[in-house]
Amino acid sequence: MRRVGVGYRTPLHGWILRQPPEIGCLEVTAEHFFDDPEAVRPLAERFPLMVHGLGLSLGSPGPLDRDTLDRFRGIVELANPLWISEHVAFTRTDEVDLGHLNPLVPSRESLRWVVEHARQVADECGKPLILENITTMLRLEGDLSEPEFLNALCEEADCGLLLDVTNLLINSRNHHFDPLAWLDQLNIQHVRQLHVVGYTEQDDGWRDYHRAPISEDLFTLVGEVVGRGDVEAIIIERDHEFPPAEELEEELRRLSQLLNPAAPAG
Amino acid sequence: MSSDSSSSSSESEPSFATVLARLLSDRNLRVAFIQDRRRVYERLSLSATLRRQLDSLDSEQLEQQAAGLIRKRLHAVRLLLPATFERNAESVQEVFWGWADGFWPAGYRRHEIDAIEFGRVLLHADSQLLDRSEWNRLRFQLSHAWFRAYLIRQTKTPPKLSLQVLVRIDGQPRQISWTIF
Repeated sequence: MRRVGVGYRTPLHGWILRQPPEIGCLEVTAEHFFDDPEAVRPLAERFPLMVHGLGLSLGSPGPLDRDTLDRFRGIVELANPLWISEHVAFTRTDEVDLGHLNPLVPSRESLRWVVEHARQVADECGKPLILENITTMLRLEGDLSEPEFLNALCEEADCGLLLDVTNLLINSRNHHFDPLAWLDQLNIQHVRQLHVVGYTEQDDGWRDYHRAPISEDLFTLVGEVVGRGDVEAIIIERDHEFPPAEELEEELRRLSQLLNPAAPAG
Repeated sequence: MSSDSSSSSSESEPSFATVLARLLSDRNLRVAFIQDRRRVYERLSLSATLRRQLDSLDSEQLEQQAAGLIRKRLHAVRLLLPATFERNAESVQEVFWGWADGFWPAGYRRHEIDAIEFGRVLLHADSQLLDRSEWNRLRFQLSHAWFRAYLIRQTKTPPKLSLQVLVRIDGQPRQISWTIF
């Protein structure tokens, strides 16, 4: 079944619990529930869930942080999600927690750590794992292109892809490449879920502030991806400056039409 | 590219991720790297392989990535201390940008820890910049205390004193405040 939904955020709580028909699934960010894991239950009772991680830092050399993984697994057990997700990135090293996502060198040696950690997370949580591409202002060169790296990661870790369409578009504009040519290199069959949200254009580049409505070029890119593969879910990843519910519902309807073109509109 | 230091021949050498994290989190090191990469390589005793990898880093992109990390922290702290930022956004942001590079909070509560520590920095820089009431609430929220009371001087004309009482009821923090005079 193909579904569209939103990332759960506290300001959207009331609207979400009214269960508008446009919301077919809900993505919960695990770290947001670490202080009150039971708060996931009422969401799990009402929606099919996905659990999304931010702080496992799969790309960090060395062992995963045990406390973070245990807390993550605890949320997964309560949420019983369709799948779990994290990022192709690192957020910390032994010396410092950078707090946000940073790129990996797209090389066979970087791949080793991510594959090992991805398998560990999937095994311990007992759920399928999908991994997300990130935005980065810093482009790192390696012996693989980014799509080649993602293809190898999915094959060797036996995981899927969470394709963040907004991140792809932002990176393509900041680093001057064709997103369609990027997609041509990607094994699109690995893509299980999409993220999408409006981007912000500034003087020094394009940014993923997660606070803008979805623009036409993003809807077009979503349509392109959906047309190439077998995407199962799309999540709007809005974090700030929330619009009226009607606007989010309209975005969800448009995405649902893209994902399910044979279904009647509205 | 080597992204780990597991082999015995490179036990003392940091991984590429480790060096990149240092560059992103340490402005002084980053500036030194951009000005003279060879000198930084010598200082960190890096192998030829790691040096080649780091040679490919674009200086402007490195700065943008580092600035992006601080900007995201600033945004999170602003959401936790909105009244403080509303008072004097420009000065408060200036203090944050000057300070943030030297403190990197860890863990899933990093944003709250960041905001609390930043509050201390603001108090030291200029006590008028910080809204103590919201800072106290944040500190209480992160503590295990069930009761705290603070006298707060409000910056009004004429100045007023408030008693801020914070309690925990059924595990949830609650605030009770009275203006004294």
